[in-house]
Amino acid sequence: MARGRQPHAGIGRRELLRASFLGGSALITGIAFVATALAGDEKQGVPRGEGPKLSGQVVEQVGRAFFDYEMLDSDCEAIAGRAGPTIRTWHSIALRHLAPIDPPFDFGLICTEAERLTRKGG
Amino acid sequence: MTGLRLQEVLTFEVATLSSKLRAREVSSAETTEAYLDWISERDGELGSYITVTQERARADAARADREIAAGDWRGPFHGVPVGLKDNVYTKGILTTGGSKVLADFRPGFDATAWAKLASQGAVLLGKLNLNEFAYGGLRKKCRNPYDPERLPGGSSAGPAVAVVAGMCAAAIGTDTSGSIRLPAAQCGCVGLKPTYGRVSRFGVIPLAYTMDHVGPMTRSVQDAALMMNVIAGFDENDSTSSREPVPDFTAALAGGVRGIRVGIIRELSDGLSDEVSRAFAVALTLLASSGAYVEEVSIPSLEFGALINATVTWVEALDYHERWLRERRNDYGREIRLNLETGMMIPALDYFRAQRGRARILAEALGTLRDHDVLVSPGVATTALKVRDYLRMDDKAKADLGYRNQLRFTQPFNATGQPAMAIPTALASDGLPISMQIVGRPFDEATVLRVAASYEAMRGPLSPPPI
Repeated sequence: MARGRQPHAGIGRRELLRASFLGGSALITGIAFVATALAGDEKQGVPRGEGPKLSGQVVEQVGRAFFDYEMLDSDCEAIAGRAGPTIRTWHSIALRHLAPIDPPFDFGLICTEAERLTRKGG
Repeated sequence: MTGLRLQEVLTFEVATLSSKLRAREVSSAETTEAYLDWISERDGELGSYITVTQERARADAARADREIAAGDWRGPFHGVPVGLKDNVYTKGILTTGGSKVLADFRPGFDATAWAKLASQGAVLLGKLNLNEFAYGGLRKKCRNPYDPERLPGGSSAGPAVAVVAGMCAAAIGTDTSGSIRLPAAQCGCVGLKPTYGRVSRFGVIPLAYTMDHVGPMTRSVQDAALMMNVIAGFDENDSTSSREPVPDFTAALAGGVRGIRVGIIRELSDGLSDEVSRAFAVALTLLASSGAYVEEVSIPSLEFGALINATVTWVEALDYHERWLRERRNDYGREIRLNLETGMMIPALDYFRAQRGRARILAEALGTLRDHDVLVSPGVATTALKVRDYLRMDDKAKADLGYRNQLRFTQPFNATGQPAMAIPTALASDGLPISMQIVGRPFDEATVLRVAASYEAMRGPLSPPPI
């Protein structure tokens, strides 16, 4: 249990910190996967909407108009690259895949939360 | 410590350590000092802890020894040193969430899961490393104990590393996209994401309220069951906490798999490395040879898991972080900041549709579980990557890797809320752990644990990490 190992030469601290998993970029690949599957549906004759477009400029404007929040210029395109495919994919899915599914409304949960808030004096 | 070497104590499973503590073959104080010494000696390289609570641990251990000596044994965790992912509230103890935003935060109360474990006499060794708020990058390096040049997986990286490296006997982790199961798979421990609502989320820093799960990360299936016996159950402080009766999770462990029906998830059986594929096949053969019925099943909607998980997490995480994001943007790392800002772009309509879509996946999963007791897949597609290789990839390659090799296996079951466990199956030729995922019906962790325990017994012990 005591075999030593040397520190890892050649990789700086900044790089070490960047070496992490589970960022949004991986999620985007998953979304792209779904979008590809939907494109396959389209080839088989299932209609698919063109879908909305999201640019870095729109990201900046939405941040400012809806959230009173100034995005960094350097981030806007990256955010558009994450949110854009998501919105377009939902646009396509909603046309066909979700029609028979009821909304996940849980009155019991609302009652429970209200009781909890009452107990806390909220 | 009669007849026991201190370092041997560090390798004990909770069940073994507990019996020796109860029989007073070893004291909690000695055990705790052994853990603290080992952490001090080696955690600089692995980075599993953010905060080590030496004095608290010593006080907990001394009290446990007094109580056990007086015949007041509280249960299997009495005197056992554990660690907590640093997004789990601990009263008066730093709880950073792995972020500069909470660098000085000391909660005023304990998370319910930890409070339950503490009430059973567990010893708190410290708070364990994680990706920033379980959603960004690592602020402190964390490495795989089987090879410190490899990634540990995330976001419960610290808990997995500490459990495997002998730096705590067991840990509590959290899982919103796979954050218990992925590091467990990459580092070689057992990680159980219970059913949504089975373990209270109260006092755990939220990531996505409707998909956050709290669960055990342990060295054995039995230890996971033992911890579930303590932390599971209704909590009036968590509105999403379930009133479903809590069984004795250890009761079914010896039930075996004869007659158990196992469904191999077709959609998660491709794109595997050769060794992962072989190890998975061997695991299935073991189950079948012990009397389980093993056959392929299909859940086509699994492909929507990533979309649903991303949409829900972006929005719910933003809801929690919005005020801090406005006031302290520069205290967030770039990766989590981009995720949170992306949440601003998601229409309410799409969040709503994502929540509706969860029922679609669960319906298909439950359809397969009408004829099967559990579903199985590989835990991840490959062994842990070298940090150096990962850093050389461009963003697209990293994204492709993260999804295809890891998240596609785990994310769907955060959306469905089903219990899902990662259990090591083998060590690959590069010496790194390979894992299998076992998924059950909602609130049927007992069957997941039963199958896992049976498999674990057939598999036999794996070589410990070379540290």
